[in-house]
Amino acid sequence: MSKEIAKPDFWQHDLVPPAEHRELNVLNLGPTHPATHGIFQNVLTMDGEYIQSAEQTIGYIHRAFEKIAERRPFYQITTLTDRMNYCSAPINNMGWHMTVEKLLRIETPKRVDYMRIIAMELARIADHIVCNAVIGVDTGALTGFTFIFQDREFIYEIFEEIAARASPPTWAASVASSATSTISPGAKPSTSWTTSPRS
Amino acid sequence: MPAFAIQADRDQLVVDRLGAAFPEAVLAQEQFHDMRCFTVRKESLHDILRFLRDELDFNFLTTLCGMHYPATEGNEDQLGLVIHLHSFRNRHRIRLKANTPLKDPAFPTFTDLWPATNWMEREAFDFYGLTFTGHPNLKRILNMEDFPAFPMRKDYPLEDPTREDKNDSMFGR
Repeated sequence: MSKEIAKPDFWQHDLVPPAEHRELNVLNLGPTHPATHGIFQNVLTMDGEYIQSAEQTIGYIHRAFEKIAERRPFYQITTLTDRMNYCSAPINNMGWHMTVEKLLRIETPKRVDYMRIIAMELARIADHIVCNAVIGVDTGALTGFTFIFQDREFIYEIFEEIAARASPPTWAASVASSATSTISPGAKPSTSWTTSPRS
Repeated sequence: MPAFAIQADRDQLVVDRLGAAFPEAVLAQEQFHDMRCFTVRKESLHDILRFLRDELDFNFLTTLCGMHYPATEGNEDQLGLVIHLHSFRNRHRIRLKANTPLKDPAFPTFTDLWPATNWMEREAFDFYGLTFTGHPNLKRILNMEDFPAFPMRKDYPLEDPTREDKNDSMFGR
C-alpha cells in the first residue's frame, strides 16, 4: 500500500461532505414479510444515519373483524378472536364472550368466573413465555427458546383437556360448558397431564 | 363479575359536576352494567373532555371510536363518537357519546388534550368518515390511501365490492 492512499486528510476530505451539501434521504424500512410477526412499513426521513421523522403504514394485516362481526352469529366470531393474539387466545375469547354476555344481560355463575380467571392467567403466562423466548431467538439464542417452550407445553396440555385443542383453543364456550357440568371440584381429569412422559 | 366495581358515589359526583358546569350540554345518561354513559352535545364535547380531565381527574382516554346509525323512518343517517375515559387514581371509568348528522361529520380534534387520540381519530376518519378539525395529520391509517369508501358504515357491504379478483364461484355460490 502506498503512503498516499493512507493519508488521513485525504480520506476526510473525500468522505465527509461539506455542511452545505447535506441533504435528507427517504428510506423505506419494510414492509416486512408477514412471517416476521406483523407486517409493517416505516418511511424514514434520514439525515445521514439519524432518523429525522418516520411515517408508519400499519394496516397490512388489518382483517376487518369488526365488519365480519356485524353479520355473523356470535360463536363464529370466537374463532376470529383467537387469531388476534394466538399466543394468549383465551383472553381474547373472554373479551368477546363477556361483551356478548353484557349485551344479552347474561350473568355467569361464580364457577365460570373463576375458571375464566385461571384460564386467562395461564394464557398470559404462556404468552409471556413465548414473548421472552422469541426475544432470545431474535438475538440468536435458539436454545433458550426450546427450553422454555417445554413450560408452555404444560399449559397447552391443560388447554387441550378443556378445549380439545391447544392452539388456538377457542376456549370460552368450552369453559362455560365444563364449568356448569356435574364434575366435582376434586375430580381428576381422565388423562393425567402431570405424569405423562415428555416428548 | 365486573372488572371494576360500580362506584355509585363517583358516578354521582360526575353527574353533579357535569350537570352544574354544562347544564345544556348533557342530553341523556344511562347506567349500562358497570359504566355510566353520557350522551352530550357535539359542540360541547371538547370543553367537557377538558373539564373531565382537569377538574375530575380523568387522566386517561382509553378509546375513541366512531359509530354509524343508518337512516330509519323519520331519522337521517347519524354518525357518532364514543369516548371512554379512565381515572387511574379513582379507579373509575365513564363513557361519553356524541352524535352528528352524516352530512356534517366534523368534530374538533382532541389531540390537544390527549396526543394519543391522533391515531384513533385517523381510524374514525378511515372507517366512518368522521373528520376532526385541527388534526395534524388526518389521513387513512389502516385502509389503503385510495380506498373509495368508509367501510364501517352500515351501508357498506361485508364483501368488498371493489375487488375484481374474486367472484361467487370462489365461494361455491
